[in-house]
Amino acid sequence: MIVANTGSVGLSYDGDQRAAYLLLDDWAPAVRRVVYDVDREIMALRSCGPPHAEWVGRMVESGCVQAP
Amino acid sequence: MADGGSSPVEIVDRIRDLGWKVVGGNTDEMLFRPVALDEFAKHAPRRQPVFDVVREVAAWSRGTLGAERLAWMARPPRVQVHGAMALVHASSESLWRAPMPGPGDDELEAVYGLLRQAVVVYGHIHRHMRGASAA
Repeated sequence: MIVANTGSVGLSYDGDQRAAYLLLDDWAPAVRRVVYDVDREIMALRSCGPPHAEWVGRMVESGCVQAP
Repeated sequence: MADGGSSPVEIVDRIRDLGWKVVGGNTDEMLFRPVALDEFAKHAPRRQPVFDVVREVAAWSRGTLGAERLAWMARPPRVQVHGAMALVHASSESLWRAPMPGPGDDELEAVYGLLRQAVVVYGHIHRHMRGASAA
């Protein structure tokens, strides 16, 4: 049995702020990273009104777990 | 699927429009069944300040999504099987607990062997893991 973890699309907790997904090619897993506009997402967080947007934004920007 | 970001409505609607097969996860469950977070949080009393923040963010996501989308989010199964692969969020038994990074083969076999598939893919822990195998 092969076990793979997809990771998180937007909060990979590995210090890499790029988006991520897992590709299975003939069932062989490979992680793919995709550059996206992180600043735009952080600006959207700040403008759309969720509580603790700064906390989420710090995690998106750093790619790491952050304390609230 | 849709907690903690800027655009929960757009994400859910996009997934629905695409017709993707999905599995439910813990942050989905805590949106359509808020008590699920309380049930999990009671086992980690020292992390209550974090759970309080998570609860506030979830309340905003819940209000933004609305009842119809929340009802849809309750429908996905815990397991999707496609060919030789099974996809789960954390495990077939739990949406909230999964092997952490660096698990041994015994743990992976114990958690995912029940699925009886050649390939098992899970998420939940945020960290990628490639090609770990169990007997």
